[in-house]
Amino acid sequence: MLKQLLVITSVFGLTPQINAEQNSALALRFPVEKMVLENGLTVLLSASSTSPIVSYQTWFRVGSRDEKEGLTGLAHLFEHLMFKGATRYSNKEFDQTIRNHGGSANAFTTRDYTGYYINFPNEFATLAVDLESDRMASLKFDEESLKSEREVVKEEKRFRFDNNPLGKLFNSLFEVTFEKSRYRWPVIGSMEDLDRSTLEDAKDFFSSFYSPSNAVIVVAGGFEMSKMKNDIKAAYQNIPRREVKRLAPIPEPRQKSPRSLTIREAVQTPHIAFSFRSPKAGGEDSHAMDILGAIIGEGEDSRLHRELVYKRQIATSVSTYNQSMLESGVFQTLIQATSIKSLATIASVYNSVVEQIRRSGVTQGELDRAKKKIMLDFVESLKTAAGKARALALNEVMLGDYEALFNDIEKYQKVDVKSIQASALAYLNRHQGVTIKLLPESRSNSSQKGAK
Amino acid sequence: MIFSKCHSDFSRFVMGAFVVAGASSCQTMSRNSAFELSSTQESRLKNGIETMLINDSSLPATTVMVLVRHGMISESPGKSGVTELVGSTIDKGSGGMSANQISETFASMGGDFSISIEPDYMLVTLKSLSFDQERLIRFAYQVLSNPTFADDEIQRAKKRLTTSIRALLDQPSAVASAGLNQMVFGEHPYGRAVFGSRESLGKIRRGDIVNRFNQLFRPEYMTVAVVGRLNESLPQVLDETFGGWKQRVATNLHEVASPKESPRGEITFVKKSDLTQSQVRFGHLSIARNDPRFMKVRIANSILGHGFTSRLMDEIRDNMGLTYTIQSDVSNLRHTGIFHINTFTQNQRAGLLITEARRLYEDFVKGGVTQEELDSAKAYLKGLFPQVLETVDGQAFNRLILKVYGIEQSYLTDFMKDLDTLKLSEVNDVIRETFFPDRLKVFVLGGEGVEDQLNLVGKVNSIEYSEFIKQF
Repeated sequence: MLKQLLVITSVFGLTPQINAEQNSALALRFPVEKMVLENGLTVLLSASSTSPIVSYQTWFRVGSRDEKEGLTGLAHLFEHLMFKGATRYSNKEFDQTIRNHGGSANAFTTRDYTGYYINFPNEFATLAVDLESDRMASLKFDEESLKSEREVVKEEKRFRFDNNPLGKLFNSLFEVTFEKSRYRWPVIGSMEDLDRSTLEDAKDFFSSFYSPSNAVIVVAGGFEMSKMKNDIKAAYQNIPRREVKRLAPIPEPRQKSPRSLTIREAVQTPHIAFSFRSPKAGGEDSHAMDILGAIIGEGEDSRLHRELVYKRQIATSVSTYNQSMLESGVFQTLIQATSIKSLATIASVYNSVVEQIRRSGVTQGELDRAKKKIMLDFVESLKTAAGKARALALNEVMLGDYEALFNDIEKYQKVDVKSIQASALAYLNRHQGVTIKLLPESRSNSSQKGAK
Repeated sequence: MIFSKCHSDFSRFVMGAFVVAGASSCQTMSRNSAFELSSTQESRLKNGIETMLINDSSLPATTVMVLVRHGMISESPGKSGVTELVGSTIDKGSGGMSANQISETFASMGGDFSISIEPDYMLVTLKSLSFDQERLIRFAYQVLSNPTFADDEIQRAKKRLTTSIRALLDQPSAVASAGLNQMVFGEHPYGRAVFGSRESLGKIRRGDIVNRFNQLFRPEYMTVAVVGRLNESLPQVLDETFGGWKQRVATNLHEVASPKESPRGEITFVKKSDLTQSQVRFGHLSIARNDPRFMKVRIANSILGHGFTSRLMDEIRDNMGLTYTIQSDVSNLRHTGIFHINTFTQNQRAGLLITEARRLYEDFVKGGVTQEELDSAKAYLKGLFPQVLETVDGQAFNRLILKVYGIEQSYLTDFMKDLDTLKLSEVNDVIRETFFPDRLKVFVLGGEGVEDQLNLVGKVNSIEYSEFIKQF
């Protein structure tokens, strides 16, 4: 018993700092081969002899930031059209072929990029090349498929946003944080714009952005390297490079005063959210801001959780994250409050937590714990072939070099308490903040919605 | 970049989580003869706690899972939510340590403490980098084996849970699923929400929570799984920690009978005027997890409603554009199971969607499936097998679920062979035996104009939203 007690005591007393040996254990690296075809297509290949899965991912450098005003939602709507068939695999044959070979496929659209993936048992790796190259070379869709998918997307919008108060809140965070940038509109778009989009718009979109030179293919998992290289070259090399017609980014003016919005919905629980603009992807302070997010509002040991959820019991959940995008970042916090009357206190506590970090910085213990969380997240993200492929694609598309993935841990390790404070001073200025409240409809004014 | 914080990510289809072993969603199988499950070392500590070790040295990570093979449904009458309260307070004080000290210590190893309360089991999951492995296990044991259950922590947990219940009511999808559960299971514990209700939580006292902890966390019900890059000293560490777990005195678990279901189809409509989209659920009772027809039911369901090319997705989404997603599933539990279809559509088309989904379901049961569909489903499930079990975490989780339902571990190793032997006639017989269009309950949560459409498809029991949510 004494032995056990001693061990437990020492366990509890350990400091979480990472020593040199632990650091070297985290110097994770797995082999990656890169090739760029003559048509500009970038290919990253990471083979593992032990993986039973091959994850074949095709990411295009196009998202909702590339949409024209009046055609919002087109990037995502187009993602749906990519499953409507091509020359070799017509309409439903694409999905049926994947099912018949035990695969799974899906896609996702963000503000910056659009990704498509097929995960197969590794014996069908070559089939993924055939399926994906077919639709990049010869996608086919018509008025009928556009009409059908438009209705599907509108149902998706009703599901995720129109009938989901938190979805509305998230969209509002971007709408208010950005005044000019195309980041301000939601990826799903507006109903009016979805209805407005034509077959010609969709064809233009494909022509403008779905050039091989605007794509990154990542294959990770169990496959034979030389065969995969040859298959990809043979399948893609004749797809012509097209000019990528990207709109020039709209510079976001410096925010000069705080902004706020109150949304009223038929909800049971009020929420409050805060947002600041933060460094863009690859920005010098982006690692420090990631760590700062963890310290402020990620996990039960974070400052906001302790103060609002545990001590004062005026909130039930807190979540802070730093999201780095191509043109800017956002540093956002979402808090679920116990009542409307607690919102003022929550806002006051939030501001004082931020001000305290700007004034006095964070502790070494907080910094070390946040780094540990990030390291564990990093390791967890690499457990699957799909996770590896996604991590490589993300770095190649967002930072222009997959190698950034392997340097990240070192960059996080270099963040110190001074750089955290400096980042808070640079980016968390209350005069440049955004506050959004989601409140239950008042009985006397139940129709009031979205009042700015 | 390590992270992609993509709250704005959109997928073509909301995919359900896969579990091979049962309990939820779809079981799968390997067509890939090269894929083998990792070697698993199982043993029993001196006090009877089972252990499961799976080594995978490819990454410096460790996952610890503590399974308790009983869950919410064995709560005593009138104590609904007490298991959730055990889960919410078990890590909020232990020995001389406060909740803050505990959360800080887990965080110093990189991860949070998480606990999942399910109808048939509880699962604690902890993760760390592998160099914190021994520290994680010793600390987890200290926290789990000696929880304080302080009154102030119980009050905090109750307050958080009651607010969380209110927050769930803001999610139409969650409300609709709870509504269907009630229609199908009635007063049976499977029809209750695991977190209880605001009223029931208020009646639970500290003694109830302590008794519930002592009921559940008994060595005979527990399995500790450790997976990842494992240290050589691990068996000794487990012996020194969980091997010392003492059984405490508690009342017996409440005995649960199998639920009975009304043999008639019914429609319940809950009106929430602000909704522009109706959440629609269909369901009826199905077989328990240990029923020998399990595999046949699952493969039949995959043809009806799992994946992009299922009959439901093909017609309701792709051909008619009525919804973004429609899925059917069978959740096979300890005492019974539930077959259900989940979907949604704009209010104006709710009646049409229900009519079409019912028609497809009737055709499925009357006509059965074809050999071509069965072959495709076998290939699909075989291919998903290595995807679901790609990580040792996934393997351990599925092995633990088998233990919950008393299914032999050979289920995983034999599944490919068993799947291959399934004959079309057997699958179609099981479809006729276990899928019942005439018993289908329909729950709709929707807005204006829906009720008139529902009256055209059957007799409707209408409830105002404000009345309906009083029970939660």
